[in-house]
Amino acid sequence: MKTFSIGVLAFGLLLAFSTLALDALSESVIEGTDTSSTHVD
Amino acid sequence: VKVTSDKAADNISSGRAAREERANAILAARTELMRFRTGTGEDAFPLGALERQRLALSPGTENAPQLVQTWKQDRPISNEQLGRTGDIVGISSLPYANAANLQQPAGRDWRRWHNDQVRYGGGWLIFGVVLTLALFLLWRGRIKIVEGYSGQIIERFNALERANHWLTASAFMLMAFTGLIILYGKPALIPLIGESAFGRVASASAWLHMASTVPFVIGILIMLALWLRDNMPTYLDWEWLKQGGGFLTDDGRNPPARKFNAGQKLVFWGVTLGGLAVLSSGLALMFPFYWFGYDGMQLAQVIHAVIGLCLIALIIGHIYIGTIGMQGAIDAMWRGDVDRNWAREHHKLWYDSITARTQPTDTARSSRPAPAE
Repeated sequence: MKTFSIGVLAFGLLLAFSTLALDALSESVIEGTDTSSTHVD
Repeated sequence: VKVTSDKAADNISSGRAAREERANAILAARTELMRFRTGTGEDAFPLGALERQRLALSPGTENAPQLVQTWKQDRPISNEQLGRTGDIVGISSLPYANAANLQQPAGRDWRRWHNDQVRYGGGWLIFGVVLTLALFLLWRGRIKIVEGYSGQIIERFNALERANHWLTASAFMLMAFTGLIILYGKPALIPLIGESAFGRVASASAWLHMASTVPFVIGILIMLALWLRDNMPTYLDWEWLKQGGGFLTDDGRNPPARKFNAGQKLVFWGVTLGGLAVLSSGLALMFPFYWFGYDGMQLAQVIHAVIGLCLIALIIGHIYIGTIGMQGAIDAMWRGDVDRNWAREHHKLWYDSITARTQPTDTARSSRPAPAE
């Protein structure tokens, strides 16, 4: 039971970390998107 | 957006008839399937009065290939696309890769794979595995420790091995659950919870699915470091497989195995190699068009879905044999130790090597309530 809890807790922490990293990554991709040269035909 | 070039123009002459024939066959098969779906599938568009009237007046409504011919005659412009392979590209103001790709005729094949073969095949695969295990349990019953609990235990997995197993299992379960929502959500959940709620559920599922990649990969890497040596194939595995692991009879004469038997090795290699396949195809899907074009993205999606569904089927079997399928098996990963008789019956060579070094520990197991049969 103890190691099960440790495993699930470790998963939760890693999930939280990777969620934050994914969020930061997607923000940087959106901010870094160059739309200055686009035009409408 | 306007069309500026037609890369498909050169593809018209050679092989066009064959491609058109293939497109006709795909359309006919999908038409047949849409009739089978009786209006609840995502492809069964709600028809307006005019469409219903036209469909009712179309000759060959009861015959899918004939209905496709009627449809083609009715739409000469769309019909003209059927034999093409190349993309039709224009100019787009949207800042996305491939936004200017206006038509991709080859996407018809992917749609058939994604919406038909993968969804129905995956459903039958998972349903088939559950049904097979249920029938096996009915026929064979729970695989018991033939000599019963001895009251002596030996360590099977240490704390690091168990914690890492549950870390990987948690990540896998979340990825499997969210992956099924992503694959089956549109036809299965929208009729139940509506489009608005499904939008939130699908978005959260996709997010959690991607975020679970990190703990899953870390878990797999630690598993490789801990268990790779014990999972290398040997001649014993072939013998074990030929005898069905001894699972088919209750005489306790199981083929000898070291720490992991062939069934466990199949799970190990299935998860590591399958994990590598879903990881690489999943990364391609997380970064659309960064490495691949349309063809590559579509192939990655099909590979990701097929391997993912196979992994789910594999893990259902793993969970079955580790819990209700075999007496005493859950102790190995839950408490870390197993009964001496369980070890001797299922992992004879491993048991011999362990007991040659140490003696099994007496335990108060006899005072524990026996697991439910």
